[in-house]
Order: sequence, then structure tokens, then C-alpha cells
Amino acid sequence: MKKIAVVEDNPDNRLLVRALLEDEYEITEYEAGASALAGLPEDKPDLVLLDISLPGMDGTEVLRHIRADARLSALPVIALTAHAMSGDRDKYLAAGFNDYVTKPIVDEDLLLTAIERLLSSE
Amino acid sequence: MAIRKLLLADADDAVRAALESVDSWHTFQAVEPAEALAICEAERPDVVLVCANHDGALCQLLQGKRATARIPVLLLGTGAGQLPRAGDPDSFGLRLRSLFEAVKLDGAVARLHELGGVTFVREMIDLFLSHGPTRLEAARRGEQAGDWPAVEQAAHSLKSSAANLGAVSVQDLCDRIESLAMSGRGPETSPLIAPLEEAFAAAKDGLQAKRDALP
Repeated sequence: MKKIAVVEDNPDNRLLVRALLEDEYEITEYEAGASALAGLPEDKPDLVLLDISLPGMDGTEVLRHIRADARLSALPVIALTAHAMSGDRDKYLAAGFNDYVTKPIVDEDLLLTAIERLLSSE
Repeated sequence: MAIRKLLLADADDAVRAALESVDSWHTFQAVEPAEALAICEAERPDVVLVCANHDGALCQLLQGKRATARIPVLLLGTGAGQLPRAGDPDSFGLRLRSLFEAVKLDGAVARLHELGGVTFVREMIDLFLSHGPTRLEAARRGEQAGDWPAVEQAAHSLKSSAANLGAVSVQDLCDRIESLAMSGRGPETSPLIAPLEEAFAAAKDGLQAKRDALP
């Protein structure tokens, strides 16, 4: 079973993502960017779902650390964000995210498809 | 308040006139069911308003596609639970909004139930009910202290939780407060905090009732 790390400060969003994915993936959860950066090298997930609006270190900064760390740099990372504006997708892809999914996750197929696409292209 | 999208299917002039006076909706219009389906697929409206003589065909079309199956359809008519076709614009707007809220709450709870069963729904509702007041208080304190980043963060978190549970008024108010707080218009959030507290109290009652009704 492939492993997905979820970095998200809202406990209900973590619970929702877990419910959506846990039949097919092993899920690990992180509440903040710093704990994720500390745990990911050991955890070795196949993919990361990273919330953008984390308190403290935000998702974009967490991603910069991931890309700068030789142990993590090749990890596929999907941005999760509630700030959906036109042009956001290009912005996040340019920042180094592999894909982008908006919250609330009203259509879980979009999330599942994005994950499957990235995991199958590894 | 965030503008939500509404599709008016096969409506008569009286309904159109009543809706024009309600400014919180971005309205699309369609006559034929196929045309309505195409708009639903392209625009993903938050709700469809349909006249009683035309509902069956359109509901069937919407149900047939995964992308549109969850869009709630409200029926215009004179029966109980239906939206009056016309009349006083203010009451039409309020009634539309309250039906929309009820139907979104129902839909969200049903979806969570389908996704993860009773225990999961209960946990999601409990998280919202226990974390909500903390975030409301953080927003209120931030607003009083002029700490707009704190207001923005509280509104952002609450918005996300509200959206998962279909608490649309809480979600829309948080969206507005967050946007104002992050764009240097923090003081404009002040008159929105009390309505947010009221919207949360209403959502809390609705969700508590849903929770109590779970098997």
C-alpha cells in the first residue's frame, strides 16, 4: 500500500482526507510544517498533500524546504488550498508543486485522480 | 457575502422578477432540461431552481452525471417545502436562502455518511462544534485588538470546517471576513462578527439535530 502524508492544521480536514483515502493508501498526518519536515525523511511517503494556509510556516515555505532537502526533493507534492483564484494553479505549479486541489473537497474524484496520476508516473 | 451561483430552469416572468431583486445570487437561466444540464456541467451552480412542471426530466439528467448529481434542486411551487413562485421579494429571498441552507446541510451530512459511516459523521460534527467557538472567539478578540492576521486565520479555519459540513452562511461570512482582513480592510470586518456568531449558532442547532437523529 502506498503511503500519503497529509500536512493540514484543521483536524476535520485531516479526518476527511483520511476517510477519502484510507481504503487505498496508508495515511500519516502532520499538523504543522515544522513537524512534517522533521518527520517526512523517516516516514518516507510516496506523496504529500500540503495545505497552503498553515499557521507559522506556510505551505509554500514547507515546499521550499522539501525541494531543498536531498532526501525529500523528488517527492510529489499536491497543494491543498481554499484560496481559489484564477491563475492560482499556474502560480502553485511554478512554485514547484506537482498539482493543486482546491478545498473544500466537494468532488473527491478530482483529488483521487490527481493522486493516481502522480503515483503512476513515478 | 460571497456570491453563489443559481440556475433558474424554465422559470416564468414572476419568478425571474422576484429573483432579480435578490442580489446575493449570480443567476444563470435555461429553458430546456438539456440546456440546464450543460450549464450545470460548465458552471457548477450551488443550487438549481426549477418549476414544478419541469422537474422530473432535469433531476434525472443531473442525477445521471457524477459531476452534477450533488447539485441541490429546489422546486418552485405552492406546496409545503416548496418555494413560493412570487410575492414579496424580501420574503422570497429569505425563504430561498433558508431552503438553500437546509438543503446544503442535508447534502453535506448525507455525503459524509456515505463516505465514512455514522461514526465519521459524528466525529466531523463534533470537531466543528468544539473548534467553532474557539475560532469565533479568536476572530472576536482579533477584531477588538485590530489584529487582522489573527482574524484572517480564524476565519480561514472556520470557513474550511463550515464548508465540509454544508454550513453555507458560516462559510460565506468567513470568506468575506477573510478577504477583507487579508486585503488591508480589517476594520470592515467588525459589523460581520455578530452575524457570524449568529450564523454559527444556527448551524450548530441544525447539526446538533442531525447528530441526534443519527442511528
